[in-house]
Amino acid sequence: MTLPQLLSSDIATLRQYALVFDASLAQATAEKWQQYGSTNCVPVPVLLTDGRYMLCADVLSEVAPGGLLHAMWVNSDLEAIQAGTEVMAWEDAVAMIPVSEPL
Amino acid sequence: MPMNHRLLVPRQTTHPEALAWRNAAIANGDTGITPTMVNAVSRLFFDIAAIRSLFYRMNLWVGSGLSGVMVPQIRGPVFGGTTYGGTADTNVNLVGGDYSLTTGIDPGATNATKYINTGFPANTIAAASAHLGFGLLATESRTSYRTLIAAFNGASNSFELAARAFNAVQNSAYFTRYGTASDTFGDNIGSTGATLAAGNIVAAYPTMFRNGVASGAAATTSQDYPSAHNFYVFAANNSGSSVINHTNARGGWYSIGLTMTAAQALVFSTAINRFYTAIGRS
Repeated sequence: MTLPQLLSSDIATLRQYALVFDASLAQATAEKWQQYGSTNCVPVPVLLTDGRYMLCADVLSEVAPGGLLHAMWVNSDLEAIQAGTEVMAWEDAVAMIPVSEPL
Repeated sequence: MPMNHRLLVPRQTTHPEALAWRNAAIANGDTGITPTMVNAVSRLFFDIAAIRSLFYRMNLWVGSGLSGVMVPQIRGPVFGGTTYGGTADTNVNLVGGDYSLTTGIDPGATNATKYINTGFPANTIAAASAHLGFGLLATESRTSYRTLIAAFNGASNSFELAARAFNAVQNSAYFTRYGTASDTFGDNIGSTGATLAAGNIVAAYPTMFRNGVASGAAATTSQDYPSAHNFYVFAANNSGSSVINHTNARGGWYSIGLTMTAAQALVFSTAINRFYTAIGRS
């Protein structure tokens, strides 16, 4: 599955995948949210054990017109997002979340 | 000319707090607030009038989408008085598909990223005087430690309502000394059916109520939570530095406020059930 394919997928499909990217893209995304986003939907990526970050791909359900992240999306460097994002099976990405101390 | 008798019939009014919520939800971007939603919220306010001052922050998760859903109906114990937290909750990683009016919020079976920041500092109310409530519509399906509403100071204190506890007792909540059996109370939400309509907790010492009826074992001690970490819903705020213990439980509302008697908990539960019926939530 690729990012362009996910953009036309339904939410059930989106939930099966994670978007994985490096710190620089995470930072760029956060800056765009500061400019165009709202607290109604804050995409906060989760740090993985390999130093990259991930979001559930269902965040893409909010980038279409009318979506909570549409303004942020259309004002982002979409080429950089596409080039810098790996689509990963959700369970594989979750397995890379650092295990916290048992609480 | 005789007076029309209909002039003597009280007109049905909408509760001012419901109108205030509607206006706030619209201001926050929700253009799809319906009369059904407003009337349901209004009815709830009338139903809880006698216990209204016990609620400091409550969000019934009502709206046509997340813009409205993130706006709490209650932000302080007195309408127009001191407020706790912002005009809206902060949604982290939930998307529109995670919400519907009839099913509430479902963060997903493998939730590891989604939660709501209430903006409500956990040391606002003394633990022994507090309630935490969560409208549990479907239980956590995993067996590891998961939280519904929680703040954790990263050391020895937590103030939380858990979907699955970490300790052997497997009770569902503690106010507030982390992992101490005598502070642990309630019954095990995580292992029971998905029929819990109201999981509000009352303290002093704490007792768990389900559907307005006390259940499980009561705690014998409680301590105040020392830190101003905001309560998170669907996960735990780990001292403001990380987020842990995400739950996949599905919920219909949360509430933070003062402790309740059994009679007050029953009033609240009854009001919530009427609210659920009005909007078709289950």
